[in-house]
Amino acid sequence: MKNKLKEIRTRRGISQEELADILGVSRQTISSLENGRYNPSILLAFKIARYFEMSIEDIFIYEEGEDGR
Amino acid sequence: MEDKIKKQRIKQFVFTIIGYLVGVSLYDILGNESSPFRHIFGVILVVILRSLFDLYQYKKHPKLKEKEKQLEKDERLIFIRDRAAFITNNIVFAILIILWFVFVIRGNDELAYYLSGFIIFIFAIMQLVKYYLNKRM
Repeated sequence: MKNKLKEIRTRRGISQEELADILGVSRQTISSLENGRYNPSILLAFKIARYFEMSIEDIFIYEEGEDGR
Repeated sequence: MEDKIKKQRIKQFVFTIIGYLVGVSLYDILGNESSPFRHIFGVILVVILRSLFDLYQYKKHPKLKEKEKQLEKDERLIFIRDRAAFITNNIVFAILIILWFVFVIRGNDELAYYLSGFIIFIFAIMQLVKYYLNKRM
């Protein structure tokens, strides 16, 4: 799944470490999310969206035919 | 902070090995005969050394414990842990089945019998856990 997390995060001027602390995850998780290596759970997706005051669809882009992680 | 945790884990591992070796050696030096207590002595020293090391680390870096708790709940790490457990389980099963075949071919009926019992036992536990989780979710 593609996402705009890196773009949004850098626009807000926060580091991966800071975002990880805010969301209660590891810095590696943020890095993996940004690189598209890992798809978040619905709970984490909501947390990210809430933090950036956006909708999930504004950050994560679902493409037909995607499944699994 | 995550790098510190990684370093701490490496140090914990080293302390475990050293603690065990020192404990076992100390037991021998004190003139005791070789017995199961030799290993228990090693394990006790590991527990003491690890506890002291952890206390020192947490005092030196107060945020370390908080970060560790945070990482325990990290969904990606939980996913990785689950995946690792799944793969390990499959590998262990494959090894056990190969061993069973080897025992059958070599005519070690008794070992093959016990091993098949063990495989069935593990499989039954796996099914029970699956059933329980299926009911809960």
